[in-house]
Parts: sequence; C-alpha cells; structure tokens
Amino acid sequence: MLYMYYFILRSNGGIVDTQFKKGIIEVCVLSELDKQDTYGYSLVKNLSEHLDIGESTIYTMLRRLTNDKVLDQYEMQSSDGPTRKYYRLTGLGKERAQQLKSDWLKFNQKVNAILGENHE
Amino acid sequence: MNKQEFIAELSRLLKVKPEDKQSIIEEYENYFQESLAAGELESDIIASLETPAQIAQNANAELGEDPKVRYQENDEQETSKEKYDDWVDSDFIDNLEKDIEKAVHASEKAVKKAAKAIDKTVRGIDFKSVLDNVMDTVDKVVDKAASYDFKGRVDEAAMRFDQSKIETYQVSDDHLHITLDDPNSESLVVELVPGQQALMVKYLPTNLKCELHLNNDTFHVSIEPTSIKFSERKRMRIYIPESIKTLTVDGNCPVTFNDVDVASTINITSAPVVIKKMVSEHVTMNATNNPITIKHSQIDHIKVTAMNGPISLKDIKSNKLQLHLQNGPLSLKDLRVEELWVNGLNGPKSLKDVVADEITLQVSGGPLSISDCKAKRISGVISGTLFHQSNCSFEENQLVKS
Repeated sequence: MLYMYYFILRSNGGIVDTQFKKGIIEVCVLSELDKQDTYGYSLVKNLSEHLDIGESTIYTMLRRLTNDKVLDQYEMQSSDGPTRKYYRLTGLGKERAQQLKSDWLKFNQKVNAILGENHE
Repeated sequence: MNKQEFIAELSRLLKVKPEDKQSIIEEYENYFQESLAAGELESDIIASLETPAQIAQNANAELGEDPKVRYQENDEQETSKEKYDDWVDSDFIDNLEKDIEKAVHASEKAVKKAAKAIDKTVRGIDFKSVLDNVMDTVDKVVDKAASYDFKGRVDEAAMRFDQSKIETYQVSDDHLHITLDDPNSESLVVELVPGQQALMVKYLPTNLKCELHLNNDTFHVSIEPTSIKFSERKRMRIYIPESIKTLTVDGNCPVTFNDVDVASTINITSAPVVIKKMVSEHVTMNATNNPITIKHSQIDHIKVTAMNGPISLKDIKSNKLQLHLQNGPLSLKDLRVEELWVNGLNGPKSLKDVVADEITLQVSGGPLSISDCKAKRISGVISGTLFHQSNCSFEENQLVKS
C-alpha cells in the first residue's frame, strides 16, 4: 500500500492517477468480496455507483486476481436468470484483503492528518 | 452495433491468453443477460459499456498479451496440456499429494516401528506387548488411509474444469465399462451408486443432457467424450441402472462405490478405492499404490492384487477371498468367509475376528498378528516374519513356520 502513498504524492494526472485508482479499486473489490461472495455484474453495478470507473477495469482486475490466486470462482444458478459466476476470496485473498484494508485506513489517517494541518 | 457484433468485435480485439479471453467474454455476455433481464434495452446497454476497443486495450495491457495469439491470430488451437496447467489449482493438487504422502509416510512409519519391534524382540524384550502396539498402530494407519475418500477436499476446492475431457463409457448389454482417462483425474472423485431406469451422470454442467435411457435393455445413446465439460466440481456421481450387471472401472482417480449391486472389475493404479455396502457376486481389483477399503459388503468372490496398499477389509461376508499384495499393511477384521487366501511379502498384517472354513497364508516378511480367529483348517508357510497368535481356535493346524 506504500505505493499508493508514493503515487498520490506524485500524482499529477496521467498514468500515476490510473495506478492510484487501481489500488483503490483493488481494496474496494477485495473488501466487497470479504463481505460476501458475489458475481461480476453485481460487483460492477455496486462499485461503479461509487467510483468513476469503467466496467472493464473491474473485469480485468477480477481476472488478474483470479490468476494470482487471490480469488477463485464457482458457478451458481440464479433462481430466475442465468448461471452466475461467483467470485470469492481464497485464503490468500482474505489475508490480502485485511492487509490492504488496514494499510488503506492507516494511509487515510495520515492523509487526513496532513490535510487537517493545512486547514489550520 | 448490436450485442452479437459487440461480443464479436471484443473477441477479435482481445489478445490475452485464451482462458483470460474466455473469462472476459463470459462476463460481458453475463452483463448483457443480467441487464436485459432487468428490462434494459440492448442499445442502452451497449451505450453504457466501454467500447470493445477500450475494453480490449485495458485487458491486453493489464493481463498481458498472449504471444501465441499475437503470432497465430487465426489459430485457436493450443495444447490441452497448457490449458490444464492454467486451470488446475496447483495448491490443491499439492495438498492432495501431501495427504497421500502423509498416508504413505504413516504406513512407512508403522513398518519401521515393526522393524524396531523385531529388534527389541531379538533382544528379548516383551514380545507380545510390542507386537500388539505395532498392530494397533497399523490398524490406525489403515483406518486413516481408508477414510481418505477425498470427498470433502474435492468439494471444498473450487476449480475450473471447463474443457476437461470426460471419461469414456461403453455400454454393451449389461456391461458398463468406465475409463477415467481425464488428465486431471488424479483429483476427481467418482462415486458410483445404484440408480433407477437410466445411467445418469451427475455434477456435470446443466447445459448438457447426459441421461441415457434404456430401450429394450440396451443403451442406444452414447456420450460424446469431447462434448462434456466439468464445471466447478471435480466430483462425479454415476447412477447405475439395475440392468447393469457388470462394471469395469479403469483409471487413476479416487473411486467410491456405494451400495452397488454388480460384479465389478476395478483397475485403479494410484488412487484410493472405497467400496461400501456392496452386494455382488464378483469383485476383482488391481491396484498399485492406493489405499483400498472394502466395508460392510457381501461379495461371493473377492480378488485383490495390490503392490503397496494399505488394504483394509472390514465386515465382509464372502465365499472366496483372495488377497495378493507385496508391501502394504493389511488389516482384515470381522470376516465371515469360506476360503481365505493371503499371499504377502512385506508390511504388517493383521487378522482379527475372522471366521473361515479354510485359511491359507503365504507370508514372508512383516509382522503377522492373528487374533480371535476361528477356522476348520489353517495352512500355508510363514517365513522370516514375526508371528503372533492369540485366542484362536483351528481344528486343523498345518501352518508351517520357517
């Protein structure tokens, strides 16, 4: 999560901004999945409500995290609709989710502290 | 642009590895399905999505382009081996292998313990209690190995099984021949249970009809081996209709037989085989290194040929029971047999509560313990082994110790 800090300090748009966003999206994706297993469509709908990101960012991230064995998948038939591919955290994923969350909260605190100082 | 064109364009532009590509395409197809089901218009959905070019650019950059795809764009083929490597959860396989190793290690330990016991005995230390201890350990090991039917493990592991090839089935008259030749089959559990009218294969994807119906006692439908895909489960349950009288299973994956009423030939080389509550005329089993468990069954003729076992038979009624094994621990408990024939080299062997007309033992090496057994006649040769007998009654004893 240190890289986030690094990136935000240097953040002046462009690729750095993108990287920063990706870090945040990863925390959000993992934290959503930490609450409950969910399928791609639902995750996209939930996250894009709050974050200004395209759906492909989430889909490719889900795929990358699956390749990294942070997530795995299983299929479940929905009661009315199609078969849904659910994502869930693996053991590794759970650890990573906790780590990223706590890193993020700490980082957030520090930033808030800095912002607070500036206001005074 | 409509949905079909959108997907086609996306598919054309995606240069990532085939499995990544398939996953992304599936997600977009699902996005369409879900949105359409929610009442959205196709044109609105497409407008709300990124363009295929944006998606592909993002995915190609993020997931890495597949060099093969780049150079052979029109060649969709790739070796199945690579696919399996990508899809099989190697951690799971590792764990499975570790479990098998543990079981094997435990039996080795028991054998070592037995060797220690021999040492001690040679030095004149209390022979019987040491041997009893050894046999207790062996029983525990065998029981433990026998409980490895891997069901829990397999269900817990979520694995991709798409594009995996199915085992083959051949049905002729009343004979079902199953070959488990899936490259991943080492961790596929097959459960055979009696069914009703038709041969049914369960835990396969819903998009495939795999029910075979009986017509004049003959099966007319066969499963196209390449058309079946496993979805998540690496577990398969096959319902066997009553009209099947003979069953042959070849392969390398754990197989569990439940309550099946057929004559069976089982050739499984390295995975556990569990037979429970089987009523059958004939069971022949050929195995090399797998734990074999037969429990609560009534089988007229059982013939087991194995290299390393462990083999555990409990609560069996049989006319003729023939066991031929090289090394593994062997535990026979609570048997009612007419003829029992054991031919074994190394590895501890234990016979408990065996009631037989005739027992023949050809045993060399490995401690042998016989307790609470009854027979009209016992014969054979025991050589080079620690032998302990307690609480037995043999009307005629022609056992030769050399």
